[in-house]
Amino acid sequence: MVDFSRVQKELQECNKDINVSGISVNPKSDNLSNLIGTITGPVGTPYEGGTFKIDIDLPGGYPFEPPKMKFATKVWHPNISSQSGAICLDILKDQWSPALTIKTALLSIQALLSAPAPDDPQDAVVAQQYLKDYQTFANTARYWTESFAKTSSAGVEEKVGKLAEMGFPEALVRTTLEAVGGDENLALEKLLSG
Amino acid sequence: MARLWICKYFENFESVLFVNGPPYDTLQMEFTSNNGVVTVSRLVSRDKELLEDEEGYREQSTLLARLVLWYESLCTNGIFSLAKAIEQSIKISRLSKEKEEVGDICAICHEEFRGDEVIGTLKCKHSYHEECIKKWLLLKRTCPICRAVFCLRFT
Ligand SMILES: [Zn+2]
Ligand SMILES: [Zn+2]
Repeated sequence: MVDFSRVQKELQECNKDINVSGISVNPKSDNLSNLIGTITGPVGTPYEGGTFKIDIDLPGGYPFEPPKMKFATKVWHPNISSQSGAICLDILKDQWSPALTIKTALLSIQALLSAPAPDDPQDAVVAQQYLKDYQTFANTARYWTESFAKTSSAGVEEKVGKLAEMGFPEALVRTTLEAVGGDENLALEKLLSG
Repeated sequence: MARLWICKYFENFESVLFVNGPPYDTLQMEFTSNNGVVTVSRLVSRDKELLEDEEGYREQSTLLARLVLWYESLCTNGIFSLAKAIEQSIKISRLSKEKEEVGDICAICHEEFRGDEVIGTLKCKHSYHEECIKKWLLLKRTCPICRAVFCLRFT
């Protein structure tokens, strides 16, 4: 049985200093075991300017068991699955302690965005790219932030519109742009050769 | 022939293996005992590869088998119980209004300590509601705040 009285307190506490921490948590419905957390991308990283949503499920044993968290916003990061949003972070697994909170867990995820650990990857493809070709990694991560973590992605829509006008299917244009980190020319090259 | 899995539960045995024994992922052990005396014992690694030909490991596994038997006899004779061992690793007190802890918050349930509540304090001096910290210690023998590790005593 989830300790809902504690969860209630956590929500109040966390949403008190949203402006300082850039972190908020809200119930998904009227059920306090399914929550949505949001974190802002750390300044000076490819995630800067983005707002990332994180799905939070509290297991019956919470706070004696860790909360289950995964990214609902698509993100390009060695320790986060680009497919499922699954997060590789020790405090969400065996290093959990009941003195930690939903907020401290979200802060750790925010810190993970600043300091990837490619040697202990969740997404092997991203981790390889991070280690072998950092520049492409950073471009792709920035483009994903631009495309998925910003409410107004005017720049992206403009590029999609332009390429779609040339007669390429919109869905294909989007996936191609994602794959090349948002580089319009590279995308066009790929679309033409495709 | 007894066969058992040394699971996370036997933290002491794991560390014996870790310090002296074969690689850490060796978790399965087989042994034969006669009235509590271990005669044959061998370790099997997780992928079922036998390690019995390695002299050093055999010695360790015999030692380990003895420990396991000893532990089991203590449990079946009611000398050792987890609940009792946890009981003994917590110092129980009651808050009084004079103590400065009144108004502090239990890091597990996030409720304030009230005057009439029973408080459990660990050796690292971190305090929680007795009920709260007991629930946690059943799962893991660490302090939630500072992660200090506790070995449970058999006395
Ligand atoms: Zn408590
Ligand atoms: Zn402590």
